[in-house]
Amino acid sequence: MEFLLIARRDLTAYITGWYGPIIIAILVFLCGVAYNFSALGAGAQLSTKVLEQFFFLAGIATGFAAWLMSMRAIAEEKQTRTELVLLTSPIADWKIVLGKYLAVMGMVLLFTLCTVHMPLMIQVHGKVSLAQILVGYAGMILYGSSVAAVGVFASALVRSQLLAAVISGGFVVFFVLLWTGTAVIGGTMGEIAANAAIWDKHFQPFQKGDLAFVHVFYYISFTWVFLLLATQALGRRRWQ
Amino acid sequence: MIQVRNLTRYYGGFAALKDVSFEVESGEIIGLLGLNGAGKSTTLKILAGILSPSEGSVTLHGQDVTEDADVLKAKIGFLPEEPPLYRDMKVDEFLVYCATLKGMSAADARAKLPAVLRDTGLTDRAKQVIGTLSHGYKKRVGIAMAVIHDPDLVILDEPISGLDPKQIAELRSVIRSLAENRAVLLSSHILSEISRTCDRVLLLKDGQLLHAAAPHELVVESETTALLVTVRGDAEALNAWLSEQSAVKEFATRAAEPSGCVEVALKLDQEVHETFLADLISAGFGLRLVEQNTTNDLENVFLNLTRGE
Repeated sequence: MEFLLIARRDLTAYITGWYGPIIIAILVFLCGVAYNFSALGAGAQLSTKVLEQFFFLAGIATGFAAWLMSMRAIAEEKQTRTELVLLTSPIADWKIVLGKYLAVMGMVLLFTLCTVHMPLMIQVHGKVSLAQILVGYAGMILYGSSVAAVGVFASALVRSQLLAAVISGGFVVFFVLLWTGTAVIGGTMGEIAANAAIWDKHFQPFQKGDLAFVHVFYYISFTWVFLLLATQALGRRRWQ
Repeated sequence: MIQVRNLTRYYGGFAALKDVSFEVESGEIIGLLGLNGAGKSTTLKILAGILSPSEGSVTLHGQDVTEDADVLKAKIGFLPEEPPLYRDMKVDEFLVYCATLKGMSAADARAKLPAVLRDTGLTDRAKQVIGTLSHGYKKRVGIAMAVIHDPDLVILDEPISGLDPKQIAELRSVIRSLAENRAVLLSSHILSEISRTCDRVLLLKDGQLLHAAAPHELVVESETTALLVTVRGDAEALNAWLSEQSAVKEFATRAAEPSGCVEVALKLDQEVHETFLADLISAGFGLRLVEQNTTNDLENVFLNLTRGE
């Protein structure tokens, strides 16, 4: 269970440092402002529509939280040379990657917890089902998990946190924009591209409160592939 | 205890380490010497399990651990030149964290902690945040990190770099105490430190092991030796007389206490010591003190052996 040790240490460092709380505070603030203008301030709407808009905005913010937290995951250890603590310990590379990923996900969960009051505010003038809220949050977390996995992979590639952020940002934007595949490429390839996108097709059902196994499977697979790539990137060092 | 056999490491087409073999026994302090690019860091990284060798093997207590770095990592403590410390953690938290990563239970690590803190002089700093420690104390935390899991071999890369003389003296005694029940392998550019601390020296050049011997044996193998001689007499006359002596390879003089005395640092052939000193007295100079300058001796050996072909 060494990965839990790593996750606990990193999570403590995120929470007790200035970086994690400030990022979460800023994102919660921006999410709240956007939610206020686009959902609550747009006149009378169905409660479910307001909730959909909330999950759209909160989903984007979750992606940013995962992106900003994950860029530090391994790159910071390389920058400060503390990676040697891990690399000289008898721990499999996948456990290091998993520990780093879990710490990032801890912060992503903390962010999502900080937004819980927003959908509950709908209850003041409307009515929403608890199931739609839970499914929406599951979607946010799964999307955040995918972005976090990409971030951990990028931070395993390079020493600079900034470069890790640029690489992971590039990957995420690419996978988000794949939803335009049908319109831009067209045909079967376009359909495949659209189905590979981490936003749109796979996220929209969660926004609406529809829980489909295929989308859950997609996000878990996406996360698994990038964590696997991160493990390979970390193990490559021994042979360089 | 640890046997290194025909270790070779390529970086692309470049061989950073070529066919290096040596053994390390428990209780030994071994110094790894070599110029930059000699292969010291590569050797240390392979022994620490960070790098894999291209060829050759590392055997620990008779078990080949070349392909199983985790076994090696559990039995070895590694302190790089810049200690890898989490600046946000407290000393005791960090050490327990490192020990548990090495495979100890948290309870065992906490039980071991007071002894390690005492041995490294960190008892009163246990609750201090690492980022607020001085450079010397950070080195100590690094050493504590390297030994808390009770390894068979402790690897220290340039352990005294950046320390002041007091810290160096304190660290020297810490290193000696570490070797009481384990082996210590240290690399350093400071030859005086190697000659004072190490039982054996491994001399690397261009990735190859040139010599493996005790520091004094290396000096004996040298054709010349360095002496510090204090004589009573006129400095100019002494300079003139030394210039005429064919056995003296190099010399430098300076005024010394008490007044009227001159200290001479010189290099001369090993076999002419007695004759030289007898001639010095016959020439009318008062011989007051003769010392062997071992630091310079080792430096000579090092420079001679690592000099290009």
